[in-house]
Amino acid sequence: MNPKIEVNDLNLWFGRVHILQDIDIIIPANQVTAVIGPSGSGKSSLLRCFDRTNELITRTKTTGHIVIDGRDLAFEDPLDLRSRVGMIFQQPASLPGSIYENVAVGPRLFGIRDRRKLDVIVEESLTRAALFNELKDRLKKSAGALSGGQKQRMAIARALALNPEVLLFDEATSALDPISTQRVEDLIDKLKSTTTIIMVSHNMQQAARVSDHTLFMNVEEDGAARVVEFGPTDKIFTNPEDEKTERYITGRFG
Amino acid sequence: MRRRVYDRIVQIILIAIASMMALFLIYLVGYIIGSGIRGFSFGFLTRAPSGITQTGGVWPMIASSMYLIGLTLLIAVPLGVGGGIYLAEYAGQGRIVETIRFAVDILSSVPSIVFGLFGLALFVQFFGLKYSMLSGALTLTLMVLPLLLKISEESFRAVPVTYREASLALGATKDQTIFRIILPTALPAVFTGVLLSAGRAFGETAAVLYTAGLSPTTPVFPLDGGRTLSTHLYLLATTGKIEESFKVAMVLLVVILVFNVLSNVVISRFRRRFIKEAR
Ligand SMILES: Nc1ncnc2c1ncn2[C@@H]1O[C@H](COP(=O)(O)OP(=O)(O)OP(=O)(O)O)[C@@H](O)[C@H]1O
Ligand SMILES: [Mg+2]
Repeated sequence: MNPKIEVNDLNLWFGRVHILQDIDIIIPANQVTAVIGPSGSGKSSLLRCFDRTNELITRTKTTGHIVIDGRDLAFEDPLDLRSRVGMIFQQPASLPGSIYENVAVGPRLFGIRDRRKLDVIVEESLTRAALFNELKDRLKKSAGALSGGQKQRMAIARALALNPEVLLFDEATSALDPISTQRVEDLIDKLKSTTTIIMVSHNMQQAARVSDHTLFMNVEEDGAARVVEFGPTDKIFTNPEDEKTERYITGRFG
Repeated sequence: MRRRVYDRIVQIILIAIASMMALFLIYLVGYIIGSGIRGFSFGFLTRAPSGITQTGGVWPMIASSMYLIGLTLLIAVPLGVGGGIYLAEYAGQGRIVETIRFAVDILSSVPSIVFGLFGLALFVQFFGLKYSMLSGALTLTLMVLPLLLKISEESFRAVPVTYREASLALGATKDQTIFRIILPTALPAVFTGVLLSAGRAFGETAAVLYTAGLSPTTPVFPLDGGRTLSTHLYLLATTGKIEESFKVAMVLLVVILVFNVLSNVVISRFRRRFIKEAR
């Protein structure tokens, strides 16, 4: 098991408020890590540490280190980092313009203008997102009319167009119907071979089904979120060490 | 049961009010067209007025109106849309921005005759631009700017945050996000504001009277004077040429109707292109 992301003693504040406290984890490469925990337990905030988008939202302070492939994030160009770490949100955004434009946004931002290159990237990304065959005849049509599930897979294709090493899914299926959810889960399973995936989920069955490792976070008395337990998904779901983990996954709190 | 009777009564009252308004509108349009159509010929649109009475044609007025609107939009749209982007995306909060907003709100409720006087003093006299299309356009710009600013600012604010998040998460800079994602999304709404401004400028009389002048000639250069349709109408009516006034009123009305229909078509096109699918 190769480590992809090492988080050392990470602390995060939004203004004066202590949000994440003493996070120490190692995310394995080419595997799916699920992040679970009650609402407000800092799951989204943790994800946003990995692409440094917290700093766009409010005044933040971070201590500790996040290291991806041996390189400390703090010293990287945030724009470049965000192109290598993709984020998929709960509500997929279909940007103005065609499906093609929606997928080509990322490469264009980074200066790729050549039409043939873009064609190749768009086709590849849509194929990897299991959407190309479904939409190949209407790439030039507006993206607005796609179904929720298609929009979400288009958002995944948009992230894939930048060829990211890490993909972050923040409750990416919680607005989707069961069939679309199934498709995205299948997709996550396939994307594992090329990317490292971290997914936040409120659905325990999904976390158990899809992930290799599970991270359980919880807010302590003082209001800051900590890691309660982190380990192989099998173990967390069948034989958790912490009593709080067991209570959370069996639905008795949170 | 009583609730249903109550609902029914409210409904009847509302329908009555709505049909009264519709009837009044139809009556108004019918009356103006009915009065204007008498003795109307197509040549009225293409001829210049003649004689000391300045009657018999409105071509220079149509030209002046179009010239003035074009020039006004040319100046006002970059300022208004640029200012809207600034207020929505860059300004943040603070005393200065609050002051700007307050000033804009005040400005939007100033009567247009005051703009006319101000334009006369500043552009016509102080800057020596004379009674001209340029003086008129600058004055109209001041007049429509609050509306344009407000509508563009609101259009930018109305773009869902999810678009912003998605763009920033891809590694876009703030400027890229604003100009490649937010601006195209807000464009249809901004366009509505531009059309509203054009409509106001077209119908405006008082602000134009003192700044663009009354010369019944076709303007060519920005420093040429001219007489718009609405000022022409005002002059005719105040000098008792009622029959001729109605002809001009009809032309104004028809232009505004055509303009509205066209803009509705354009807006719904826009909407369809951006929001729905044109299968
Ligand atoms: N922009 C912000 N400014 C200030 N505080 C914030 C901001 N966003 C989140 N927080 C706070 O950070 C804490 C963690 O929030 P976060 O969104 O990371 O939780 P979460 O585990 O993702 O919750 P959920 O399951 O509801 O999505 C919460 O107490 C929240 O109030
Ligand atoms: Mg969250």
